[in-house]
Amino acid sequence: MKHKGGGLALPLALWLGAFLVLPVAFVAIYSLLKRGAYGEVIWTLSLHNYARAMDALYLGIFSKSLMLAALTTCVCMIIGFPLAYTIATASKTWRSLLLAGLMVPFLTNFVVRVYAIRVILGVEGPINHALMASGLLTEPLMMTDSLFAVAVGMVTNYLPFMTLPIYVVLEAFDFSLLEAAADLGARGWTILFKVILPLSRQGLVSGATLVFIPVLGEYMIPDLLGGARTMLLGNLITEQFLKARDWPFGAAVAMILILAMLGSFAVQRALAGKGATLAQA
Amino acid sequence: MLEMKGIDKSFDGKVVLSSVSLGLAAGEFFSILGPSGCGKSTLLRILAGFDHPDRGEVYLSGASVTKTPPHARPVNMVFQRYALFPHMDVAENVAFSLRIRKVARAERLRLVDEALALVAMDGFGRRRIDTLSGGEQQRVALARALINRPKVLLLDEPLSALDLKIRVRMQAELRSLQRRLGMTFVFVTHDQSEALTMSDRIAVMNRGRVEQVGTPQDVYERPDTAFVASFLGAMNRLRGQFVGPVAGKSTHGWVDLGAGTRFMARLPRLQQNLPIGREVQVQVRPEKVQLARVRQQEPASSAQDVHLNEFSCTLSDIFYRGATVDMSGVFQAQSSVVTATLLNADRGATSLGVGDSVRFGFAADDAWILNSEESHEA
Repeated sequence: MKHKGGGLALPLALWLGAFLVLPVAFVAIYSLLKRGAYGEVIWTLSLHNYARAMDALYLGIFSKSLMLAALTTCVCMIIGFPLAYTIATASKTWRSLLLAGLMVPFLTNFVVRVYAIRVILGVEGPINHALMASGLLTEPLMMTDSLFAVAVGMVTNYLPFMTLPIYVVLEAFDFSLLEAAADLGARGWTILFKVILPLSRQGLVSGATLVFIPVLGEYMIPDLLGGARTMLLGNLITEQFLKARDWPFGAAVAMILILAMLGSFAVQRALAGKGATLAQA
Repeated sequence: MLEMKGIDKSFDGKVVLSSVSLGLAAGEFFSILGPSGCGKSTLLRILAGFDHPDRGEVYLSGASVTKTPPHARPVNMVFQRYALFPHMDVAENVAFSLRIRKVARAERLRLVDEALALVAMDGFGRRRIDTLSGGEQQRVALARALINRPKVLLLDEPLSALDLKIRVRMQAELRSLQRRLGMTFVFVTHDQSEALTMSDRIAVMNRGRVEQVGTPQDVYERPDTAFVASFLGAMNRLRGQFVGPVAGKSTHGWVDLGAGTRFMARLPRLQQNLPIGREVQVQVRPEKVQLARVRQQEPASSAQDVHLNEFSCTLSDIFYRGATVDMSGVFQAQSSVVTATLLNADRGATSLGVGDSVRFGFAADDAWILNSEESHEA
């Protein structure tokens, strides 16, 4: 072994081999097989499943999933950045309180949290009650079982994953740079775009990756909030394995999802590694 | 040119500045000197526009800029930790304000080259900030602040992060740069020797107040307060009782040090109403205390003005410092220690040893009387 201490990496290598490489290899092999008439697997190799995934029906699901992931990432960024900035610039007491406020929902059970959103958005929920009471509506809005509800669920659930990496960058931020910029004639928005955002890029990129990738494969939130009409990548895969009993096709869709995730990860690496060159114009 | 009138500032009920008034002439190298927490940095931030005074006004060329935001003030600042933008290279940092003002590219490049040449950083334009040494970053920060030719350049302890050798060189360079540009510099520092070396005038601050404003010689040789005296260098303090002003010479007074010893020393401006019998200190800088010669050979003309205070000491410590020798002796009249800094070239100094009895002397004009009650504050 070239590297010193290589032996220490052995447990990790075993772990990754047993629980990551092997399962993914199984999925890859399954994706090349065929479903039998009764849901059994027929051992003939073909790219048949991948060809089937290119059907307009599935392409629609892919693009809807991609768009939802992109939308969630954007909304999380728009809410998360000011939130992280506020936390990072708050006094010590407020900082701990705000951080706790961001994290505490995470300690509650995931399903309970998602159901809570169902209740809040529901026909009998507080939002509809308030809108009706104020006279803005005469009939309650049907907000649950829709893509909108899924998006709300995604944003609330993944906001901390965006906020925390940005907070980490801003927490170490040298705020005298803002004074230097103001001293040199820059104002609010110029300072934001020329100084704060370029220097927060590491946090923004990590946050975007931490939100985009899991949201792309998320199946619980669409399942609980999207109703029967909202089919996304994650649900499609679950459905193929559990309901349609078409493991080879499910495996093919899963492989496509894995490739998409690797792709966005590569984009993240490229953006984060770009260093200071982005500021040059 | 730059004027501050009655500036008060507190943070969370804690008074940081109280009724600070200062006036600066155009082209002056003006230092604000004081210990940390004396309010000097806050004062500088008020001049830059980052903080706003609770009361008082700031005037620049006769017009009030008290409420002008930082980006609109014809004033630039060199920050203590430089505050260079790490995501930009040297030229981009220096050109930052030009871009904001949308200066045309050709003009921008010319000005950046000129500014970098001014601080001897030609050819560093494409370097990344994190590849520069502290001294080089300092120069870039200077170039960035100077490129707009501000009316006043504010410097917030800009040399404190540099090591000694570079610091001394930067002191000289800053000074000559300021002379060449004829620009007004406001230089904040806690380093008294830095302030003495570089400034035309110094304002000494303590606890949010300006204690004295004057030339380096003024504040070092003729301090108004005990704080100014002690902050600007080493000091001998001899306890005594105020006897009264010298007859026919109200600028000087007599102090009784016990055991029949009386010293004459100057009465600073702020001390001229001292009641007789008040506990006072006679203060004199170590380099003003010298070995008293057996026979004084002063020219007859000056001998009438120069009163020499002489006293006997037993040498308790000798510190050899190379160019100088510090000799501490126990002042026999009150068993307090007096230190004399003698030149190495002084023949008499090198032959003495601990335990020897010597006679020290200092001129009345080189010592001053301060109220002991005030001295405790310092």
